[in-house]
Amino acid sequence: MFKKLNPLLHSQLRLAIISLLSQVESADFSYLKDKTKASSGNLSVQIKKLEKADYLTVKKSFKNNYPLTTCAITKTGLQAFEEYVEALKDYIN
Amino acid sequence: MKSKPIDPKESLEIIQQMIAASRQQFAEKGAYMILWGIMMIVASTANFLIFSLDLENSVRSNWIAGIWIGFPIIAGVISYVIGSRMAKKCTIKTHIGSLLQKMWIGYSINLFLIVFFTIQAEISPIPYILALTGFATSIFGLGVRYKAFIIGGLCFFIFAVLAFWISLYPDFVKYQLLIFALAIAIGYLIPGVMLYKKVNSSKA
Repeated sequence: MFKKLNPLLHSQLRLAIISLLSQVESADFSYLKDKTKASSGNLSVQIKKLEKADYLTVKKSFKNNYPLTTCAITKTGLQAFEEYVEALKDYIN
Repeated sequence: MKSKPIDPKESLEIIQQMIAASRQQFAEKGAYMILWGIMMIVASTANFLIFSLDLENSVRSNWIAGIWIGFPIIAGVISYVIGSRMAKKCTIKTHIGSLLQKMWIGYSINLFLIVFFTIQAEISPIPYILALTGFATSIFGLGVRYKAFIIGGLCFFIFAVLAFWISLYPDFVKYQLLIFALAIAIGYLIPGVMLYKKVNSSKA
């Protein structure tokens, strides 16, 4: 019996965001945009969905007078990602 | 990239791609390695030449102090300029990156202590600096998973042993400066250039 894949992570962009953040302490919006090749609007919407589920935290600040949005994965997000990878193994094998 | 649902194989590909993308950020460090590597090679070679000249002790001491204070100040200013430019581009903070940054701070403190106390004790700091730098370079290589630095670190240990051995022969102690320059070139500068080239070729 296959485990159910977390629907929140089982989406191209949201999975990419969480995969990137699982490897780093924090990353800013432009870094995520550059690596995922997503549009700003779409990226922003998906980040909000993940933030609402407590999978990541979003911190807004300023750097050289420009607004800076920094994202970091939470413990809940990391746990969900690990569970997703475990479930994925069943499908791949 | 869109927010559409995916099949498990695509999921795996995305995870692999994103993990690989997050590993590229260390490469920018190559610029510092080249700068400090060249500075240390020039300073130690200049120091060796001063030892080889027939100068009064006080004049010689002033020149040596001038070299080891002046060159690091110049390299420090250039590092600051490079660092502030990189900070504008830097958009990511990694666990390994933070750990390595702390390791280099620890390295600097130890380096200062070694130089200060060996000079007080009137012994050459070079073997100790080489051993410490070998340790730091190897850890850096392991952290960034770049073999050239791991091999470079091992070369530092070999040169450190050679420098310790030369310490037993007071007439030859000045040659430790050439060993130091060679160790920096092999263990630090060459891996730094390789890392820098690797980054620029992947950007192109």
